[in-house]
Amino acid sequence: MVIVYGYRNSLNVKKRMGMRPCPNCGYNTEQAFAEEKFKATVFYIPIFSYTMRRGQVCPNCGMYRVLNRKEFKAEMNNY
Amino acid sequence: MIVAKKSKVGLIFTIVSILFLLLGLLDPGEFVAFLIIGVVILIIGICIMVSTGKQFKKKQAALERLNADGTVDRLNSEISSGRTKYYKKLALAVNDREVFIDGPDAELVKMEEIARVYRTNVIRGQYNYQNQAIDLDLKDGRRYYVGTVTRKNVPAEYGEVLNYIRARVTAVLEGGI
Repeated sequence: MVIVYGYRNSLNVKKRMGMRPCPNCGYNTEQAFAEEKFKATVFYIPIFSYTMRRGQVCPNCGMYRVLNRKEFKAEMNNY
Repeated sequence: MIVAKKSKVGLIFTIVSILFLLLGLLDPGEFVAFLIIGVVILIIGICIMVSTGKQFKKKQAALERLNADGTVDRLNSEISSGRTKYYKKLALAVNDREVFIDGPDAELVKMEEIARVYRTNVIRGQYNYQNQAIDLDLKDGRRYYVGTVTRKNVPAEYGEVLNYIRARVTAVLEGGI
């Protein structure tokens, strides 16, 4: 029996932050709180996933201001 | 040195496939297995040869276009004298005045044309999970993604090149895309 397995990554935007300048690229873009997830798949169906990193991400350059889980939740709720 | 080189990977695949076909002839019991493996490797080799051949021709044409006024020859002599630094892993040649983007779409970008330079994970509009690149935004709106490397294996000269270009870009632009 052949088992098709693999992985895929996804970027989940949790909350948009509105327009602000990015410290990396300098563009004024709509930044967001986002999580980058790794998903292991069997027959293209995700079996389990874990968060590789989370933080504030710029849609233009894709750079993160990496936050830990507590900081991420706190900043997202405060925003 | 900036030259158009033909890749030998396709040729190596083709030679290996011929070896498998010969092994099949020597061992009639396993002939079918060797034949299948040989043919598969041969097809892969031909595909690589066609693709690399196209890239070679494209790069050759781009270098000929750039060398119409002797730019490539000048850069090559500057690389040998040390006035221009060539980064093989990043496929970039950089000096005080210009950035040469090596590859099939070889291009010469003047420092004065660059509006912004930064590290990016978004390559050609797509968020990339594996690679990162240096984004060169020009004043006329053109955008080049250069020095694409895997995020896990960033060469030591990556930051050096980025800071070198950044230090020479004088333009200050504000506002959105």
